[in-house]
Amino acid sequence: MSDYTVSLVIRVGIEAFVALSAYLLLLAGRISFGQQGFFALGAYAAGIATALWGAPLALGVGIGALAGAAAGALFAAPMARARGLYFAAGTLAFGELVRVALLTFEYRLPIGPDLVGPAGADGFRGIRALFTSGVSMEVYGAGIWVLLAAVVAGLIALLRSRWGEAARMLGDDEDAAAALGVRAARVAAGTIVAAGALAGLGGGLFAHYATYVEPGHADVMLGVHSLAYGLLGGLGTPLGPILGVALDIGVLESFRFLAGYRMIIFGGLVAVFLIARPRGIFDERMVRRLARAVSPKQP
Amino acid sequence: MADLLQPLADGVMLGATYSLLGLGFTLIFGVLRRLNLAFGPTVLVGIYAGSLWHWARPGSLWPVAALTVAGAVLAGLYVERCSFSALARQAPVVSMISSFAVSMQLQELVTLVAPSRTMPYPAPDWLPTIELGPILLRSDGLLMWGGATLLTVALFLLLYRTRFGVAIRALTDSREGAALMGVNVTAVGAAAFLIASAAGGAAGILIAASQQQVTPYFGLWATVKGLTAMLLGGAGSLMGAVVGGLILGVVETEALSHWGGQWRDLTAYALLFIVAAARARAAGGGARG
Amino acid sequence: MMLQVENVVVSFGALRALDGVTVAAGPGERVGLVGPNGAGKTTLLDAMGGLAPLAAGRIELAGIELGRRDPAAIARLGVARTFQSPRVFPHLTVEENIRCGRRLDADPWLDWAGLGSWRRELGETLAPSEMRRLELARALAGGPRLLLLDEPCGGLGPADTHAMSALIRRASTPERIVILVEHKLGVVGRLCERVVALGAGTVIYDGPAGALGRDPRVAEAYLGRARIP
Repeated sequence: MSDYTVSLVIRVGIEAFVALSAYLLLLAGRISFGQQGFFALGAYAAGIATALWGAPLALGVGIGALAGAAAGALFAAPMARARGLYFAAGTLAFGELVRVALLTFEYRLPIGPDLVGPAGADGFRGIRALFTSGVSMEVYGAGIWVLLAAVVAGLIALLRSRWGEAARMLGDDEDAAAALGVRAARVAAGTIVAAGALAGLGGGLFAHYATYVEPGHADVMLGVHSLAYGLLGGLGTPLGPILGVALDIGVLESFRFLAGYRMIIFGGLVAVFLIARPRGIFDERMVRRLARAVSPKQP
Repeated sequence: MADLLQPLADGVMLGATYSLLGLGFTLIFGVLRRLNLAFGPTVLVGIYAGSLWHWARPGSLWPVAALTVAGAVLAGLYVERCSFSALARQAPVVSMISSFAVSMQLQELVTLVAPSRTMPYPAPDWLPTIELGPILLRSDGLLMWGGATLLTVALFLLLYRTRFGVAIRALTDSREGAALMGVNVTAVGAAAFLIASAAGGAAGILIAASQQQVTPYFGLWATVKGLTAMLLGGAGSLMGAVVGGLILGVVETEALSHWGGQWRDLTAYALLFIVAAARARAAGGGARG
Repeated sequence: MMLQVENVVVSFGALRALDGVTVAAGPGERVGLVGPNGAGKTTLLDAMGGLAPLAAGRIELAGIELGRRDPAAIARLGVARTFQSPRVFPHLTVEENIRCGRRLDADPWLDWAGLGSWRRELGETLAPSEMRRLELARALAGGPRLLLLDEPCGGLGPADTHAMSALIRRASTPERIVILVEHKLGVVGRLCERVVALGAGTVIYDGPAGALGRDPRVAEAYLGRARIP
């Protein structure tokens, strides 16, 4: 595998986590333009854990996920009851708040001969735990995808559970769900925390791959893309958003001549899909059709 | 005293442009009950159109201003077709997502067409700087405030003194009621959209002229300002958007003068977050449907 | 365990959708709720379910006040409803639509509604009559004490209406109160011994179903004249 292919596979894997985090919220009927905030917080937390506090790589990444979850809980406190445009506005504000806050955040410790740590607008360099651990890029990539597979399996199980049913009821018809006893605020809060953890996990993985994170990584474009991946790839399965990531990063980016027009194409694709196929490629009907094709005996 | 009043004065002058942005935003939300997240980028397109003209043929300011409004209106028409008319039968949040996707297109278009990222924008050189006791009213501030106030008054005259304005306000009040009274809902809705784009374009002229340049960041920035102004004043209230814009301008400028640039931005976003949460609570969750 | 609705007023701006409605029902009853369009029937159901705020009055079920609670809390007190247009969750399977996140076995209800072979199909792929049966099964699966049915036969042809009526009859238990809003007066007559008629937001008739047609106030409300010929 060439270096470029490996890095592509890693990037798709990392971004899949953020796409899944936006997807989870979408299923529960909440549109988030702010998952990049949880991503960046997870990246910074994971970097601090390994580069400043000496935690091993896996623990550091785990701390990234925890930071995302904690931020989710903080966000959910005032926002769990918000829906529709108010929720979206809140996520937009949150993402930008994180970005601006990180511009002023400085926390450096002497590690060896240097001062290491977040340095405000200059970012956070020297997150080298991946390289010092001797893990190769190929192994890291494989590890990311194994983790992704486990997360997808977990999500599928979660969405089938009672809690997942309630969340999807909210996404389909929140008022009918309430009339059936679903406590919207609680389910929404749980979804927000879980989504935050997923994005934070992606952030932690990213920080060690890139060795450098900066406030600019809490970019609203990342948030909007993450949301769009589910809309394009399909809402009927967690594999949908992953497909969306693969199509964008794998295909669109790989064609050089498309480079300057990527946003125009991508934005146009989303707009067209929302008109013609609002639940994406792998929508619920497609998934049902595939399931029937695979096991025709089951009713 | 001066260091309390100066930021206040600056804040009011800046806030007037936020009010205009907020009005454009609110016009669309009030009439269509949908959020247009491409609002800022449509204004951005207009500003870049004007600045391109100025770059190619520097001289008179009127073509620049005209092109800015025309560009914003054309971009607004595109957004209206793609994200609002085409999605009229789907839930409002779908329009919101679509408008954000379309805004990405507009942002990229602008960076592709412009010869450089930061484009200069002309400003009239005949504006005075007025001294009001200890307070300095700088010419760029006066431009923003004077222009925005004039346009806001014009907009309110349109809304309260013309039959078309009545139709718009009827739509804002109740879609069904307006339809029952014979208002052509789709036509008036589309027209309101274009007026909002024009108002945004006008706000764009004032802001770009006072800063004498424009960068692509303006797109999202303007959307956030318009959205915050609208929510501060109570979503869907035109007078509220005006008040909201002024509040936002003052809060921002005070934060800037006391704590610096980054705190200004932090305060602005925190304000948006707080007001979104508060409005959500008041509305019992969110715009139903 | 009674349902007590006392002097309930519901306003939407200047419009008084319910203007002092008082009605009571006891366990085992199937009460029809009729009236011309705009009389306030759905609004009364909304008020009982917490979807319409009370401007005045009280609604109590077994002594517990329903009026100031949110819909989810009311649902958990044992109130279930169906809607005027079926609100099945489109992207959940039929099985999930019956369970709705509750800890219950969907199978008996799938059979009860005749939807066994549709178990894993998506809610949005059902025909309207199937959606109505699903909504009813969904409401019953939770074992409600108060069942609110909003035009469950709306849009159904004669055969489906007959089948639906049979299901509604089977939905009654000695402990359950059923309120049935229906335009098809024949259905109401066959299923309900007692009928309440609303006119312009107030109760204009509350008595045996058989005598409904003879009541002058009801004729006035429906037809604008004092007798139904």
